[in-house]
Amino acid sequence: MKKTFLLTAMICASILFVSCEKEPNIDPEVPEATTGVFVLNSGNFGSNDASLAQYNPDTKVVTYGVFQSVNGQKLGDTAQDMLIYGSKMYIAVYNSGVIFVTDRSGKILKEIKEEGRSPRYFTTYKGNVFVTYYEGYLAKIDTTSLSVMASVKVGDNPEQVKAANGKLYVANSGGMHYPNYGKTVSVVNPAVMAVTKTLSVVDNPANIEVDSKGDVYLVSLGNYADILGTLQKIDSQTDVVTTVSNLPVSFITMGLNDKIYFVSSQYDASWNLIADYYVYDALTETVTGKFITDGTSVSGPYSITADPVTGNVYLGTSDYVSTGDMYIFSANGVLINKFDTGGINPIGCYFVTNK
Amino acid sequence: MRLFSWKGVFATAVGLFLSAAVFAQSEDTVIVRTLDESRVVATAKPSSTLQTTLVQAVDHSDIERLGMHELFEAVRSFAGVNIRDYGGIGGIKTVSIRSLGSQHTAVSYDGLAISNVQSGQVDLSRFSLDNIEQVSLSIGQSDNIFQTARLFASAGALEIKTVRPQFDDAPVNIAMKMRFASFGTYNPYLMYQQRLGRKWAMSINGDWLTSKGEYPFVQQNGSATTTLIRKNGDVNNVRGDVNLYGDFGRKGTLTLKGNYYYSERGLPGSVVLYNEDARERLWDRNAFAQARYEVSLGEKWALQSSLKYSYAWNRYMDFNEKYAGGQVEDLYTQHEYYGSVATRYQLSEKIHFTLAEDLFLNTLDSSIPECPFPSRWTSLTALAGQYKDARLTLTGSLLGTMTSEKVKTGTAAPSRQRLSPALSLSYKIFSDRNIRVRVSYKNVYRIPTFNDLYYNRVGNVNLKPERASQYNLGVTWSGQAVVIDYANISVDGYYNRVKDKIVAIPTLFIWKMMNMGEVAIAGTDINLSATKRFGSDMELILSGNYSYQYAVNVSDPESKTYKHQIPYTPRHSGNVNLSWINRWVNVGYLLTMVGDRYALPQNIEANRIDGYAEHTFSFNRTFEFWGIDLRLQAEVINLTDCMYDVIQYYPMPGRNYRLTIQIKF
Repeated sequence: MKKTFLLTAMICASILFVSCEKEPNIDPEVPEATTGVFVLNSGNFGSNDASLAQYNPDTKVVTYGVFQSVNGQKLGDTAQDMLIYGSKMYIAVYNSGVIFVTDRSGKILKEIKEEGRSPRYFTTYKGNVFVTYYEGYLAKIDTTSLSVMASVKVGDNPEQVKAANGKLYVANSGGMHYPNYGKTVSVVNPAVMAVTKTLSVVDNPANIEVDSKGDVYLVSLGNYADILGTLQKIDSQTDVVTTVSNLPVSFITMGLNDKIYFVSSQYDASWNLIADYYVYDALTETVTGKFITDGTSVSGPYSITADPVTGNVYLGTSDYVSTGDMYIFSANGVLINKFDTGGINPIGCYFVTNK
Repeated sequence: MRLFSWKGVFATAVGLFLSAAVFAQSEDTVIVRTLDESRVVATAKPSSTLQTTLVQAVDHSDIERLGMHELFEAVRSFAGVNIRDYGGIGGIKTVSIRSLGSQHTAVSYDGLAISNVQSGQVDLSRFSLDNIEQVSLSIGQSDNIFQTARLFASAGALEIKTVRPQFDDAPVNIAMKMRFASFGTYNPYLMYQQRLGRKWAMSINGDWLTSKGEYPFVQQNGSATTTLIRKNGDVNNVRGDVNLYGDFGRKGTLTLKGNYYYSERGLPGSVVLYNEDARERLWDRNAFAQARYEVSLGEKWALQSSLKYSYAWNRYMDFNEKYAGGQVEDLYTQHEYYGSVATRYQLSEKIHFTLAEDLFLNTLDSSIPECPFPSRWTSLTALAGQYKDARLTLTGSLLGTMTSEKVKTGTAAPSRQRLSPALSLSYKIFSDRNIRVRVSYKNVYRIPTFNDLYYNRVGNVNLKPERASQYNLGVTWSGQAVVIDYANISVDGYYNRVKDKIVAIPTLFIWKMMNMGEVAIAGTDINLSATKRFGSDMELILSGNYSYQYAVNVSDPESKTYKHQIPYTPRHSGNVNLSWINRWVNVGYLLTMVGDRYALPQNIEANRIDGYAEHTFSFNRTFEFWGIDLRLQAEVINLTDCMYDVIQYYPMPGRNYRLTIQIKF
């Protein structure tokens, strides 16, 4: 009996192992370094002009149209998110309703298409990739068979999802339900793919990051009128939600050393967007000050991502009609470089390391 | 290509039934007689060379000999216009004059403007050419100053005139058409005109258009080429007019008109790579009733007065799990109450003045969240004068605009007052040669639409009106040349400037309407037409035009789109229309050429749309027997099967066919 149990456990473990992503070679002699940066351009909705650019941080050379030149076909309409995980890359193309799984050169390995579903954002947990679908689902992708293995109904129009303390937190924006935006975060047990709890948050939750202590940081975008964008913290032990800053917050990214970089924006009386950039220290749980320290002025922020190795912050800008710009700042807010992203609406940077 | 289906058989049956019914009724009472085609043309086409501004027109006979059927086909053949065509029969079609934007074009139907205060633009796909006598487009202020004030209030006017009944001996005229076209399209049409005593006449006409709208197109995705079928493009339209004409001699004329249009259509949407799902639908119901009375009061005075009520309803639906309840439904209802009085005073043989006053009330109801239910009173006053002798024509006008707006919730846009002038002249340089020089200036003022001001989240009540200035300098010539019986040529150069252009500006998460844009437009329009007769029954008629438009965004020198050509505006475009009239089969040829355009404000390769040339051939012959005119007409549209987009990712149909059978008596 005991033996049978052990055997079953071993089989399970090996299945689990097989389905896990193989880690790239880890050579302890070579220090970890960022070898390439992919820039995902969302494109203009309806224009089929999503594209992928690649930036070499050493030579500062940008290569445009990577996906199309490798595959001979376009990326599609409105790219939303990208994930580099192990030897593979996952690209969610929202309006085309497709996830492209590629190798690290961008070559297509598989297209994941779920009928009538539009992928939004990825996260990973214990060897699986998870993706939200705007129709109200969270799905679990098997990284070996590259197909959806389980799916759970969450709230309306989910945006980002992140794992903390063994749970997945899904931001249910309700973005298509104007003026009744979503006001919840679904807590999902990733093993059984079931919603275990629904948390109340400020209207229109979208953007999530997790710090090293397991605290979940959530941005609710508000209603673009009297309810402003709000940064909240969810304690993943108790699932208690608290508002952490009075500044209006639009989006955040987690940098090195538990530093959260965030874009704060407000409209003036004539509907001009006034944007500023701040740093929040998740260890001390305080806003430590403005991010840009060298006087660089950046208008039209569209995305913010941080290099997990160097801590450099990539700030993407857009005017929504012409190709975007990417500003690269050091972790302490000094401009390193700026380049044209070659596509409209640069939605984020995704980092390839030698590890 | 499937040309027949049960729907088509049904439509044909309806058409035949109607014909039979009408035959049966009319045989006893009506003296059936042939109708001379030229007799139908009652209004003279405006001369393109005598005007102080560019006026282009096609009349009923042009429409028939060139095989045009939908209104946009006629408008497309004019110089200086850009048509935005979302493809297929159900695709929305709007017209912009000289890059000013479609909201600067007024569209009038039998003298009164068709309004859309919600979007500010009129969908041309609503009109067919079946009952049309003339379509004319004037750019700038036309020389016809005895008209409603509304036709002074835009950068250009597209005027649609319907056929007025004319009777010889018989008190009844009847025409029936049955049209079959590719992609499952059937279109029966019926027209009935009757004389009612000595003073009155009535006419009624209507058509039903149904189409599956499924056509093949070629999708280019990187290096891969696939042929796909356009889906969800079905159309079901009913349109009709009822008219009552009263002619009381010296006591004037009265025209009463009712118009109805109903449409249900699928919206195929833009072609999205890897995703063929399209479920959007649109319903439109439009109706208007108008009365127009015209009278001469003695030698010097004349009066025109008009009343109109119009109703416009539309419903948009989309079905998708991402919406609340799996669907979205938007309803919009507009009402307009409109009155106009215009008077003309003839000071001398050469000088006359006009004064027109228009007053109208527009309202909008909608189901969209936070609709403020706006209503707007507009008063337009136009004072104009004209001097005309054999050599000089001088036209000047001043338009006063006043608006006052109310909303049920929130803040209303402020009241507005404004004067806008126009001045134009044409001068014949030599007394013995038909060479004329023309110069014109017009200032126009576009009041923001209800969508611009109030559309949820996007609208902005702080918007200022958009201002446009138009300058034109042209030369015209007409006459006989060597072997050509009649020819005319006009060359116009122009400069337009649009300030405070109303554009949607994205601001991080939401779009907002803003007065951000400034556009500079310089261009030229060249028109040419020539006629050559051979013997008594053969004729060649050629007309052609070429347009050059340099239309650039000059809003912000720091922007990546500064001095880039504005979207959907070709630098070069042109048309050639040729018809050969003969005793066997009349042949018409239409060529439309449009150069490269950009889909977005940035002029980069990714946004470039290839130019195209579309060739259409038309053949027709009329047979006369038993006093009936039987006309057979066939068209091959897009003969070369050119795959092109007018709007990016809204592919246009390839080669397609149309066959029309018409009976008139």
